[in-house]
Amino acid sequence: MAELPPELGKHPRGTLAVVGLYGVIFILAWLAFFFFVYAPRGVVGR
Amino acid sequence: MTLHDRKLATAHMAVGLAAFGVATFMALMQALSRANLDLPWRSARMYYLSVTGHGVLMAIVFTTFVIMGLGIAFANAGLGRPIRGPKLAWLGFWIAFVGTLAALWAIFVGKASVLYTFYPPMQAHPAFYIGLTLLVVGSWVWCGVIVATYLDWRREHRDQPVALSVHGMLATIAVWCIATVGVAIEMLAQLIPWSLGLVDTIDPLLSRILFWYFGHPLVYFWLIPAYVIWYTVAPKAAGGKLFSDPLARLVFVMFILLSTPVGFHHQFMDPGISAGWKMLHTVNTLGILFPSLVTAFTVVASLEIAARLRGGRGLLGWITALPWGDPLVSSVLLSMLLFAVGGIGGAINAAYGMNAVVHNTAWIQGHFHLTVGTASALTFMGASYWLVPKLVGRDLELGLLAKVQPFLWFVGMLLFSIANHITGVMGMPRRIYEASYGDSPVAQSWEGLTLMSALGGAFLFLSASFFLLVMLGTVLAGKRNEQPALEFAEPVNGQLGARTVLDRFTPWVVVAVVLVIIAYAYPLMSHLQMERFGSPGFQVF
Repeated sequence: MAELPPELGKHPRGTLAVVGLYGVIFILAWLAFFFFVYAPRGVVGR
Repeated sequence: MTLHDRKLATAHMAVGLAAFGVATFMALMQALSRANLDLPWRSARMYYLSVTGHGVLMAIVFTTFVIMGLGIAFANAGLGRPIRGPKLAWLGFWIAFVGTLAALWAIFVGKASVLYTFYPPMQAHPAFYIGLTLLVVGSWVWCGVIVATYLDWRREHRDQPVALSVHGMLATIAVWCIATVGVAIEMLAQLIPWSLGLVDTIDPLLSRILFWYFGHPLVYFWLIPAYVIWYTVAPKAAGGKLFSDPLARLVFVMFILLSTPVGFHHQFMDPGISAGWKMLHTVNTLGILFPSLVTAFTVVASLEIAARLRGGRGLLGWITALPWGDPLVSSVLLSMLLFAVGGIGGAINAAYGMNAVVHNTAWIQGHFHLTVGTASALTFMGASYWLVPKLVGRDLELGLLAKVQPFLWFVGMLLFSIANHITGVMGMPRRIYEASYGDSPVAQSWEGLTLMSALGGAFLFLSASFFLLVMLGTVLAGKRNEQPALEFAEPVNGQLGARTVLDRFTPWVVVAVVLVIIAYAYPLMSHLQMERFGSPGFQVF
């Protein structure tokens, strides 16, 4: 990492924030579809 | 690059981009038609001809030829040697090109309106099936040429890791060669004899199994070359370095392993395949999300390095320091952004129960226009801004249009995709010519959204037109330059010193084949042992 700017530090903090935020949105969106779209309609064949 | 290989890559890119241009006009017509806008010559026959043409040209012809062009350029630049067997390479090109013309002839004379998935018992003219088979055969020749070039290099560099761009293209080739076995069997054993009248009936479920054996890894055939651009070209263009070379190689190897044994998640609604096997393919499908998430991390980290080297500050403020005015960089950034949204939809599609909600609805076209229609297509457009000027030895022309074009695509795709996701959940089927359903109340509730989708289609058409104008302007009127070399991002920690297990393809391909056998052998045998009923062919339009 010697050639990198010191602002980056040992870890790419900005990337961890972006990917972490995406992970949270990913899970929330999936759960929202499950609870607010799929579950009220019920499984096929009911 | 050598002059010969530049010509070879240019020929492939030219066919791919021409296919993109023709398909673009069809896309606009379809988007407007679904909004019930009264167009000249609008008819069901014309609509399904157009959907077939658009799907085949975009999803098969554009992607395959552009990927072959990229592969030739990357192999030449990454291995530092000309392509092995230039005559064979041209033979492969012409086989694929003639096959494409044959398939397009059948589509445009109205004898092959079977959509790009060509599910039987809808039956097309034999020229359609034979033509697409030749396209695949031509691509196999390309695979052989690239692999032979690599093996020549490998003999002289036994302990050296191959360039990452070539590693990614070799993974693409491995995935393609495993995947196309399925469609080759479908074509040769089922569709071609049936369309020629040599047999009277066909087993549609067997065809669907073979098609989706091919159809999902086809997605990774589109995506892996886009990832190669993201890993090796975009960070360099943004002024940065690759965050981790080994992680990128791990991703490509994981795609070799997991791309194919996942096809049943496209067949959740099909009878004749047990729930247990569908579940196994679901688990594999969720597994293949992992390399895409690793890619998101590694590529964003590479871009963060670039942004901070350009003076970017703060936890997220560095994003504004990226060169958004560079059409390659903005294409990649916007592709990644929409692909992230598409990933959420993909996880919903892959869930056994929830899939039933969106199955065969407009949601599906909303989804795959974010993946192949943006992650791959917009990346390939961005890559064209970078590669085509170098291939033809001219500067990029109409730079302002090139700068605006990715953003127009982004806006158009947002409008198109959001509208289709929502109408899909509201019950609107996909692949329908006329969405009014006799003015039923349910269909009326879709109306505002179908107009939004059409508006998105108009933005996309404008964006595609800008892209084609830039390409034409560059090739015909760009200022001649000295063909600068293709440059790729250096890893942060320097080039890998020694070849690792991630650089040995044979063991991974063997494991991939074993996984395919585990995932498909029993269900296929079980299906073949059942009493099966063949279907005659139907020409609906």
